Amino acid sequence: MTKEEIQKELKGLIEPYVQNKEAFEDLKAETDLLRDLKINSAHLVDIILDMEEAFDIEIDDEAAEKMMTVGEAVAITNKLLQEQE
Amino acid sequence: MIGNDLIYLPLWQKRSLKRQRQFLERITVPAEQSLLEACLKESALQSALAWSIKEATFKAWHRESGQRLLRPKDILIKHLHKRSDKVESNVLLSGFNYLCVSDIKNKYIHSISFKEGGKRLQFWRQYLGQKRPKGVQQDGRLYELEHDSAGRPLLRKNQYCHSTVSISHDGPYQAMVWAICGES
Repeated sequence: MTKEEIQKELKGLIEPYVQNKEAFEDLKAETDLLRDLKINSAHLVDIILDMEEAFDIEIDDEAAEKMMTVGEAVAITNKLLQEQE
Repeated sequence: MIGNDLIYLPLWQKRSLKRQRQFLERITVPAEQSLLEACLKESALQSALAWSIKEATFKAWHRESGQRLLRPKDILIKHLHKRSDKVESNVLLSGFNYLCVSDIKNKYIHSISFKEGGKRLQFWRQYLGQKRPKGVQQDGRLYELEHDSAGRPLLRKNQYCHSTVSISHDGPYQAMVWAICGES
């Protein structure tokens, strides 16, 4: 799976939780999940659980703590997928 | 410093039973899960209470430390005591003890957390509906809601004295709590 494919899939996962639709339309690697997309912090936990199911990966607390931006979420997913290969 | 968190239960309860369990396991350790199970029967309420306590405590800690933290298990619920629709909890975060008071109503859970030590902090709370107020009425005076340079809300009483404010909203509800001047 390429990084672009991961980001596309991730975009679909985070969409139900986004409150700032404008920032979502203009999604970039540096987009901050909480600050820019105004995602409720409890929904960040939902997104991590959704990612684990969608990508069939396990995101530990240390990795989850680093997922502040879209780019960081993509990078962590990519790393975990590569480790599975 | 004071922090609060409001959870609108009709939205929270939309999660499936499986997701409620996964959520709870993601944010709590087994010892906390045992405390929550002994306190509340419904798994949606267990996960909502756990989140509300931890989020309110995080906000109180963040206000003082300025740090971000996304590891809910670093906030440890050590003790829960339920009396009617109120739950008091003792919480440990970064070596500090916090006391958290939660109201559990039909539509929402609202938690207020503050650092323990010295005399017990007094606070006020308001449920505000959908509109955010311009200030609060206290001691026969209106104290206007302002923001500091970091964008954090405060109630200014005069140039020397202000109270920190914590605002939370979910669904149709907003809640605001503030500590009395000089003890915030």
